[in-house]
Amino acid sequence: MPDPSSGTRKWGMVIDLDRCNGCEACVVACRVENNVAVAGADECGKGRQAYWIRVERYWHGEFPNVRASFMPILCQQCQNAPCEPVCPVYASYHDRAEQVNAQIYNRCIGTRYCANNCPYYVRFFNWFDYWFDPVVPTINVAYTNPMRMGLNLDPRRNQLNPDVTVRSRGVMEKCTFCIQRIRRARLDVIKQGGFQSADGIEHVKVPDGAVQPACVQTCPTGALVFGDLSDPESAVSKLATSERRFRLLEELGTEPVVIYLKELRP
Amino acid sequence: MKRRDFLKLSAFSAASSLALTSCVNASIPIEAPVQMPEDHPVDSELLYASACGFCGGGCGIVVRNVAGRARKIEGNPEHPVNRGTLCARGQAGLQLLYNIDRIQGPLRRLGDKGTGVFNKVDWNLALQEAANNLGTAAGRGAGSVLFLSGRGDGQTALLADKFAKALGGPGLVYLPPFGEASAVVRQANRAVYGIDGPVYYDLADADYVLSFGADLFGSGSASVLYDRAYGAMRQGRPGRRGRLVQIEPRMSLTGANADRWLSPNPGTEGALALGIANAILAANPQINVGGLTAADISAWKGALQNYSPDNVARITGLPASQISQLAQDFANARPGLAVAGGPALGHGNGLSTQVAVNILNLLAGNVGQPGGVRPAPQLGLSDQLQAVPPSFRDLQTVFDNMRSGKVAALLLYEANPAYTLPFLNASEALGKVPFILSFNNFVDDSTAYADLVLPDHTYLESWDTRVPTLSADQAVLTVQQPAVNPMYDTRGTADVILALAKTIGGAAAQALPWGTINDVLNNVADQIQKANRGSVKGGSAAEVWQMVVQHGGWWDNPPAPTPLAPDRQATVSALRFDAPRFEGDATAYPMLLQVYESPVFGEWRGASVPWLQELPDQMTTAIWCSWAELNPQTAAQMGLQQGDPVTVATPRGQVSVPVFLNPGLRPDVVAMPTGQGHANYTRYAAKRGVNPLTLLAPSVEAGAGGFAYAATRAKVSRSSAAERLIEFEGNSSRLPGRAFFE
Repeated sequence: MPDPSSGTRKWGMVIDLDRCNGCEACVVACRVENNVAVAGADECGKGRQAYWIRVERYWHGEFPNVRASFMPILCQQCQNAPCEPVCPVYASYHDRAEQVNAQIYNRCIGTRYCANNCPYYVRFFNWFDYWFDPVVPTINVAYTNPMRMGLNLDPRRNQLNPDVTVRSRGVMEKCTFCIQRIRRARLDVIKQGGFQSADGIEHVKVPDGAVQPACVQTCPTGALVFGDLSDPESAVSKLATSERRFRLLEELGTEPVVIYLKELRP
Repeated sequence: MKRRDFLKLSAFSAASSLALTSCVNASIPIEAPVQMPEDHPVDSELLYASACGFCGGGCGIVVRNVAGRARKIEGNPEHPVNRGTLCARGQAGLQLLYNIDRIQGPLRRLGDKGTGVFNKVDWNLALQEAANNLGTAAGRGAGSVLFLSGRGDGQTALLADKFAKALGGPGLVYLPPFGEASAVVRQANRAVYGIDGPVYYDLADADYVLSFGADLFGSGSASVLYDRAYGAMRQGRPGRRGRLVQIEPRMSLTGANADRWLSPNPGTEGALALGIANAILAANPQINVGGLTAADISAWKGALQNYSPDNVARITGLPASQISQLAQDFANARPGLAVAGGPALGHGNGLSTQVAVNILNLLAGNVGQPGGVRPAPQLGLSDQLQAVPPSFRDLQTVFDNMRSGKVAALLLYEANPAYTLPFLNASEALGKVPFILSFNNFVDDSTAYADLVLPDHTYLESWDTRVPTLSADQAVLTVQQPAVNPMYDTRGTADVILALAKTIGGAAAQALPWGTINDVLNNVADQIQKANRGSVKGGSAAEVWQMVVQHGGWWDNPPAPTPLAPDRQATVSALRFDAPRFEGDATAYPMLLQVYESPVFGEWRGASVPWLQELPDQMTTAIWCSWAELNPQTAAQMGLQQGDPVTVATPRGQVSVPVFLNPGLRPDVVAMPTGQGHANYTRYAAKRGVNPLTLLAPSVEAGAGGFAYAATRAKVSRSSAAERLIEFEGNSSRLPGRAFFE
């Protein structure tokens, strides 16, 4: 039985807090890429919103000596993930090929143990279905055609990413490091003839920078960097050796592959 | 087994497995029972390089089109402004395209003006009706047709400008966001640098940035450009890390990232800049800066003599030692960079503040140098529009004309004056115009007053060009091409204007001889081909254009900057501090109101987008609502807690909102964001929150006629009811970052 943590690839992310300025482009990019549902004002008021990546803001001190800090937080893709062993139906699992912590939505029965066990607060429960009504009542336009009854076709379904499951009510969801993009990059390499071995996808080497999760791709300050931590030449590996490095709640032994670099402000 | 029993059992087994394995990975290899969409990413996608149209930034985008529908917007990696990145708004552009409440075809007003009830109408009929009304209005003499636009660049705006002029109007009247202060900035840049236009601040190469209120990252249309520069300034140069000092009454997104945040008395930022300039000259009596004459420097020294650190300390409320320290740090940095913007320019003395800050850059010798100030690169193509917005004083005249009935026809293009200009009583003025034609995508606050709506395509469905308000090294023309077929029965405004001109005939038809936007773009292609320089050159006009479209635009190195030419007379007369004057009685209204442009929504446009409504505001983490910010000390004195309803009143009006306790705010200031509070604007934004712009008095900046939007006094009191404060942060009690930061 192969040890899942000894995989040849170890996708990881470096978040440089000295570069991050809290603009939250990553938050929207992630929502769009991964079909994360909009909860609406009422549901948000009940704490039922979902953000696979969020930016936490911290205050330091009091006026006039006050300062703020930002920290983007997403699933830390623990190599020793507390959310995995508690799932009664193995919906929360460790993808061996990519060494990421993934969720099988159609296996999940919504016990939410994984969320309770996650110290990073990055797993979200679907309290409702995303599915859009086929038609919606119009506002502002008085209906003149009785056949239309003042209804419009709902165009919102068109915004969904066909590469990502639309989760249904009652299941957990979380950041997957945009696993659909990782798979896509691997298929691209295979298509271009980079596929050497007959035993499958495991031996396909994806060039550094060929995979970028949506949050990394959009980050204007360059605070987020993604890549293969097992490749010492990758940009992410080089940054991860910085003396500013730390990991969130490292003392828990969860072995996250998201590495933060301290900000240098006084 | 009942579900309840099953859950109990699985809870037990889960708990025991946790105890036994102690967080070690489950050793059973688990595979997904069925293949998920994630396992089969689609292969048949089309990528279209185009332009983002959310704000005036002119970023390049790449739209991913799968099965005929746009699915994702990314930054264009080749584009000099954003280099593959995008901001939150740019990412959310799909929900302008797929918004439920987009106008799906031409509409004619059914109810009273302002109610926003319309009837569908046929395009041919609507075009004929519009042409008739515009023709009649133009016949009433010069100035009777007015074109208000939220865009001042690109081919559509250029056609609109020609059209408006042909109909006897003043041309396109461009309405940038309220806080832009472009009249003030332009006049000060002309006086100090001899540069007629905006400048680019080279953050990426700066060592020490002194920002007087400029929210480079949170507001304005150059945020992506400056975000990128910020990352480079902090960690882009090994061993050299730039520092940022922010000076403002409320901590903006830029202030939140500063190494040091200072809050002098509101409206005294200019005095602080004068004090720093004075201290620099006092410490370096033999200062020698290239391009400046000794006469210039001695003239400024004379003008600055009253602004010793001690005097400035009295004015600003900051300790004199701190002012001297700032001057020392600024002068020692190579190079130091001073930036002004935001509320610092939103006072009656805004021009003096900008001039004083510009003088700091001259004294630092950074103009035209790496890490300093340089003129914004200009496109050397003819027939490109970069409209100069009217000053606030001129805008007042425009709206006075509307109210007095001089304007017979008004055209609205991406402009929403009923929301953005309530202090000019824009709604009342709109009610006085006999014929209003709107090209907007939504029934917004102003389109609700329209008699006829000829809806535009969204920027993802149409052809256009865009000239970014600011770029760093290269002059940029971004080309916008359709990434999807139009969803609805809409038409590109450029084509509609060309059709209207043809129907009206006369001067309009002569000024606009083209058939469609494509003819106009052929013209642009010809110019790029003739220029024979920049990112695409060589080949026929058609070949050049194909490459330009494929790469998302054309960029070119700007001509060498002109030498410094400070206007000694103008600078010396502006180098002074006039105490700011505030609207409202100090006893009745003891606080100062600061309205700021929402970093999430921009001035107003983002509010129709659910993805942005649910994006936590960066500083407060509030979503789906409006709020007023108070310093926790002020709130404690009033017995207010987070989320309590308050009434914010000014001489212009009052609103009730929940309160947010913001430690990064002066105790004598109440701050409110724009974006929410629309009478009409999709089901997501309409009747949600309040519009704080309605509280502002129409105060005019004295030097350049800008808008003194930070000069209105306010009173805050407990209110009986307001909408709920919905905070993201308030919902999560265990934030993992806390362990690191606290």
